[in-house]
Amino acid sequence: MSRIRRVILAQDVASRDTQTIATAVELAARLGVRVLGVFLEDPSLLRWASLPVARQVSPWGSGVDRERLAAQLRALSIQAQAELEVTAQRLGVPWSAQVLRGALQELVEETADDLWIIGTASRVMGLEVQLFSMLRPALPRVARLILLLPRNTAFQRPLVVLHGHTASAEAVLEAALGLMEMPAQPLSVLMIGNRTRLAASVQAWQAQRNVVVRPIHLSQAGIEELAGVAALVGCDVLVVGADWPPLEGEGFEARRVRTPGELSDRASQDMVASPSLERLLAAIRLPVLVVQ
Amino acid sequence: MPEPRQLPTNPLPVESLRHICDENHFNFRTTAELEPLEQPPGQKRAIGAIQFGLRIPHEGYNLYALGPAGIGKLSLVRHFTLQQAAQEAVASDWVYVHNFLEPHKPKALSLPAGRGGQFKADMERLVEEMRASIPAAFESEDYRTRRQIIDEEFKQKQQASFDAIQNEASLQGIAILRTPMGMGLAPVQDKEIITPETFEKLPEAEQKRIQTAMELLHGRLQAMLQQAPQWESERREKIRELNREVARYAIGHLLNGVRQHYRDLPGLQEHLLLVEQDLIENAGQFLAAQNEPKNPLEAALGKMFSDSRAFDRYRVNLLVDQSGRQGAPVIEEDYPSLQNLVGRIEYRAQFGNLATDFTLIRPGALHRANGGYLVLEMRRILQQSYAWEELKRILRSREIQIRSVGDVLGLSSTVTLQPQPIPLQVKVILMGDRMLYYLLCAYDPDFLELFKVAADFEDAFDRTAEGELALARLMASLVQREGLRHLEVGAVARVIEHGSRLASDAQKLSAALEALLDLLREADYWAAQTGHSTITAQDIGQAIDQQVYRASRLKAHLQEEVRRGTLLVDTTGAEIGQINGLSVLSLGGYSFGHPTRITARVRLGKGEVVDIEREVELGGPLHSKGVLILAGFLGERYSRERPLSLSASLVFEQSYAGVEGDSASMAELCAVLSALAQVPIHQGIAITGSVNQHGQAQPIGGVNEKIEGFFEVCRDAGLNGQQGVIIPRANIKHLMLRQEVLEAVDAGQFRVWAVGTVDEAQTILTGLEAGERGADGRFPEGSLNARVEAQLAAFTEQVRAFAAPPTGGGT
Repeated sequence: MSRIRRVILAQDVASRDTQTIATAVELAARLGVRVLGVFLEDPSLLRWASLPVARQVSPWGSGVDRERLAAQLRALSIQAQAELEVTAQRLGVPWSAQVLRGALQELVEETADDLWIIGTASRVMGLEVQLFSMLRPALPRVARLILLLPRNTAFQRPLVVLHGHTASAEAVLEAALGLMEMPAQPLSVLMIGNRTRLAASVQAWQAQRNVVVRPIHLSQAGIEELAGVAALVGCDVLVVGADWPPLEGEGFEARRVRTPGELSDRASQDMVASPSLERLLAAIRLPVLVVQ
Repeated sequence: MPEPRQLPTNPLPVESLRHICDENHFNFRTTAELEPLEQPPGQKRAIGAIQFGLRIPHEGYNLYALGPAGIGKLSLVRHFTLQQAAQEAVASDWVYVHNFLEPHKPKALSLPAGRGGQFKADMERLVEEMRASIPAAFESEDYRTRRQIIDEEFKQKQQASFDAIQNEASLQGIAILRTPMGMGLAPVQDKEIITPETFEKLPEAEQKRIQTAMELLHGRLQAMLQQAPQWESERREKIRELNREVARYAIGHLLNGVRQHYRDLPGLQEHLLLVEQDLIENAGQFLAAQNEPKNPLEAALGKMFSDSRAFDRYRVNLLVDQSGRQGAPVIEEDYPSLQNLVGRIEYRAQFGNLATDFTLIRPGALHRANGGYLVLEMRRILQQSYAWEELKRILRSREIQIRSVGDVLGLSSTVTLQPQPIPLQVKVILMGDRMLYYLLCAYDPDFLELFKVAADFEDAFDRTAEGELALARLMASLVQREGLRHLEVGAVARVIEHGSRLASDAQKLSAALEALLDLLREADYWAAQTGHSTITAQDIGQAIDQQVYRASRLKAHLQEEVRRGTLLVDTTGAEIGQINGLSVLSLGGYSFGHPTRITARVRLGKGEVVDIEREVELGGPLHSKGVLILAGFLGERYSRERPLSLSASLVFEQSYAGVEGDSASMAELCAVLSALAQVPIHQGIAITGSVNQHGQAQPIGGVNEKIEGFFEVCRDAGLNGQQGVIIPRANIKHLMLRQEVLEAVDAGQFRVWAVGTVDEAQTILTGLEAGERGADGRFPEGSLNARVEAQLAAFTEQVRAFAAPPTGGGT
């Protein structure tokens, strides 16, 4: 795996919390890289506000006003930037922030060696419910390494999940190695399915990188079994390839077929997150690093 | 003027001048052979009162031991109190614990002696064990799982409700969006939020349908949001109940272990129940201490609070610990300030403020003496602000309530602790002098109600054979207790004689234990200096002489001034209207006698005797009374039937300080009579004694010091066999003159006369017979009284002459 150049904290109105900011900064500090905060002001929200029937459920009333919504989005982005600044300065991490308003094509070319972090838990008016984030379907198109971060979690001991369809086991293993706080410790690698081929790949990588691997073999594993293994080995972050079946529907297929396009346009096509991925996140309650 | 004739030869025999203790009456050689006497002799009344006061159980029967300082009150009270306390049950331990219902009112709990400390240790251990067991229980997999189940149930309930709305929305072609202020509802078409232009192009019916659907969904979302706080409340209650269950499980066995030890104490069981409830409700504090904040300052402050204070309310303040004690407590409080008596509440500085809690309640002497006896010095109590008033209040209420001076004065306005009062069962024994006792009786209406038993100590006891032996045995016990040399029998006799001298009475022995002990210690010192293995009579004599010598600087100075002629005191010759009176000076615990020249002058007047001392306000009331009696005597004896036309003036020559007492009244009368009769008084004789209106001599105090004081002046001037002192006859029994005087008397160089009337004294002083009125109503011709009467009659005639109208002439 090539060296991670920076940590990008992706936030939008539905994916934004202090815990994710702290985690991103801490990870950047550990990796010795800068952190970039990206806040997406979704243009589709502004269009929605122009609808004559637009209603919202809010303590501040049900009426919707485009101008006010735009101002609120700006305030949120400023607030997110301020929180990032405070956290980064406390840990001495170089930081920068950027507000995106739809046109993100230029970022795609620059993010090859970046680790993207996005919070997956959402809370609205006291409810912990899954609300659609425009960034979730957009990120697979621009990012190679994506850390899906539930609330109140940390990550230092990765568990690599490889399966028969993993296209690039080496990339996944490299990404996991990059997350390890103490690389001298064994790296837990769960191999599901074709044992021989996967084992050979892992052994080759292990010899090349001089890393101690703790291999775990399962002929097949559902979400519950995976959660069990994660708890057993005491890992606190899952590292998977983008071709891992539970990620189907999350938008990674699009990247694999290299279909460029306007990020916001694409994002608006999937209004609900992948159900299997959400089930996985709920079950294991661990961050998931997706490697493309 | 007649010359004084030869002196009468009726002075007191030398045997009357000192009650010698014959050592041959004793059948021991040293005090080592005597059985020690634990109780001082002569205090039967006081001992009886103490024993009665200590044993009577009723309220108000506290004791007041009254008597002069150094009489041995404390020793005796201590002896009998300890004796009584040893027969009584050991008092209870008392602890203060946190009041979980009213935290500012700490609870007092009573435990059998020795178990208070055990309870305190048990609770300390309990807290320490809970600091480990409670976090362990909450970190267990079981707890985490159960808590996660509750959280998941909550989430699922929310999610299911939300999913139902979202599914309904999907069916209606509506998406739920996150907006900055909440959630939004947006119509979608082909998985895209519909644009305003597209919406406008929709058929009106479709627009209406969408609008209706959105309003419906809006209502359902709002209903769900209104339901959310209820779900959250239910979740929190479930977690609280789970926490209670886990905490109960974690502490149950630990608390049961403590409970087992105190099954017999319902008060403690009740407290432990409250501890358990509080622990269950506040188990989180044991977890909070585990999570150290990242901020170092916050961490330090948090540690300061959590380590030192967080668990204090489960701890025990052992106020009174009676462990190891045999019998009831006997407490002597040397410094009976208000706080030392009733206890106090201390404060600790905490970030610039003063804070307190039940662990800072400190006991007072009353707490420690509860169930037993408290010995206090009355004068010291009265010197402490509000101590006496609070002591009385507590004795009346029979419970100890801790109050500071601020509380008493009503100055405390801040919230502070109000510890639960502790029931009081104590016998207070006050020590003090008689004056205080009588003042308290007279002016403090509560005093006799609360201190019904007076143990009145005697100053002296009878010098009988038994009394002498008892004093000898007391010496034996004292030297044994103090580790001194034993006394030889001669020394014992000498001490007994000194005891009479201290009592100022040949037939009494002083009960001043402290003075006796001082004498024995000092004699032991001198015995050591001379290498004696036992204390001899010589050592006792030296100790007494040294005591006198150390204290007699002023006396020596006065005698020196007499020798040098600065102070005019004649010890030879005879003078009209001039006499040597005797006074006693008491300075710093040492008394000595000294002669003072008294002069009298008479002239024509209106029957008044002028006391110059009183005129210049140097004479006290008793002295003035004595002088006024003289006028009564003169009138009654010499001028019963005619006006007393006399004016006499009396003065203490070279006296520049106050004069009090009437012990010089006989001397003053003699001086006046001498001046009236124009008969000189022998200056080698001094006189002391008071006189009444009948001319009878009355006894006075300090007779030994007075005789010795004049003797020393005469000795310095040269003894000539004509010198001596006249004393009232009633004072013979008080004579305990020192050996030097006795030797002089024995050698005929000095004399002591005892008289019953002023006539007897006049006869000795002037050498003239006073004379008694005969059947004809006249005094014998040439007698002193005849001369006096004649002079007074002459004064009367002169007055009459002055008052008669002039003869001859007129208009």
